[in-house]
Amino acid sequence: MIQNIIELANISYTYPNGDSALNGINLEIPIGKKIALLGGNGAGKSTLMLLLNGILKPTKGGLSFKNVAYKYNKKGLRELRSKIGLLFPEPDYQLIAPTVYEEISFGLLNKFKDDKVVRKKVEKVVLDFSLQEIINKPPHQLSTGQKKRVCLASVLAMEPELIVCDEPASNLDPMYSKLIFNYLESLHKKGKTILISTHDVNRAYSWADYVIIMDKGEILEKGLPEKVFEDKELLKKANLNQPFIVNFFNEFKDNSRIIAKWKKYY
Amino acid sequence: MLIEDLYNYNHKLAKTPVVIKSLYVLPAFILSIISTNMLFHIGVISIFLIAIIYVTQQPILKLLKLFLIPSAFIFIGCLTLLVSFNLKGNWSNFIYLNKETLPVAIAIFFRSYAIVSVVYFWLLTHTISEIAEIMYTCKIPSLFVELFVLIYKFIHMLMHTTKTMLIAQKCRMGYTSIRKNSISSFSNLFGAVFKQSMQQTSQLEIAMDSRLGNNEYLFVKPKVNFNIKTAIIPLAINIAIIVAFIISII
Repeated sequence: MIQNIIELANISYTYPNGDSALNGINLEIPIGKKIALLGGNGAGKSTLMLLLNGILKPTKGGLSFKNVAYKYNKKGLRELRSKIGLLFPEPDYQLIAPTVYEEISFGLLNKFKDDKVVRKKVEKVVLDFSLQEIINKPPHQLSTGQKKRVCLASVLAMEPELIVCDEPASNLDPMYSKLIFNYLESLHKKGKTILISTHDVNRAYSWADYVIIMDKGEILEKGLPEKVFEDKELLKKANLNQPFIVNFFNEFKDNSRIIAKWKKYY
Repeated sequence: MLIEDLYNYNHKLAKTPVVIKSLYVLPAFILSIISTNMLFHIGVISIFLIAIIYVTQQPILKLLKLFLIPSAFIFIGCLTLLVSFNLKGNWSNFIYLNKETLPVAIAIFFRSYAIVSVVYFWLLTHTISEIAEIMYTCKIPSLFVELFVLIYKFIHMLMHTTKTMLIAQKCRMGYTSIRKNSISSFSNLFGAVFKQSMQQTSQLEIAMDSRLGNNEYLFVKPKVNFNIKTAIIPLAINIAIIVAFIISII
């Protein structure tokens, strides 16, 4: 049985201007899990996500999807991108169609080529994401939250096996942020693998099954959130804080020792 | 005032097929160009203004604001026809109103407004994708239609970027004096918006590639059921306009 949906072996990527983004990364993305990719700005999270979707080709090393190596020819990329959905942090760069309905149909039409099938799937997604009110609106007139919902709907309509979301809650208010994570949660229950990148350690701690910490193009740590978030020094190195709840309990533990000490004197 | 600010996405013709919507517009548009009768033009202006108000459900004052931009061009156009220069005569009547061109100016004035009202009705009842669909039906090469759709999208993105950058510049004392920094502020803004548009284009291309895009802008539009009953009203209006046109000729 396949354990990992994607495996990265010694991946390096250098941008055409000479900036090195990733340095010899070895990583396995477990199938059916909710994974959070954490790291400060410039850690290489977005580059890694573009590599997963086959938008970028690694300068060194190789990737494999369900034990099959990535093929960077037209057919190989088409197959790959129909299985891996990518959500961008900035919705304005993703929305291209004149109306919401057509935006959702874009990826579907590229994948299925049949208008009838596309219409059926668009209508289902419109209902799932409660977009009935705005289907005829141009996407650039929507609020950021609505734009993000439309982007997610257009990616998920293609029914990918792995959903890669680059900062899904960026620029969103707590309500929309919660809504997006609720969608992701429902997808996970349907058996999808979800990988998100975020700076929000609290969200990652409560949501993810597996966390990966990145810094300067390298993987610092990966594993269960309870274990990874215990290491305060490691998080500091990656420009991250300890989740509030972990920090609180650690402080509380220390305080209980202090309180015990005080009890001796009083 | 932009047309988009007034566009009501749930207007009364939102669920009418594009073909029938075009039926409202096309005969009136062609006949307005052909006709020279002032009364016919006034009739077209009134019918389409009422139709715009009824279909879009927008306040009349807002709609009249829309007419301000073409009004400037129409007035200047008519004024150049009316005003003449007398180079040979007395200096006191160097500039005078030409009575000979008055009927032409009046005809152009009303014809222009008739065409503008028809075009506004068209723009306020069709989405950009419906306009693109009409362009496809008219066998306009797909390259031009895609360019049209993309330009529409980029105009909005760049307008938004320009507005934001302009505020950021003003916050940092930009445009405080014409001599010192206005020109350099403007050139910086122009350069930044250009670079931004290049970046946005490449980002958009990546986003399209990630959804199996093949440099083609293919979309599926919501299905609209064609019903012969929906064609009765536009046909009746068109027959009325054509009859009025024939009477105006006779």
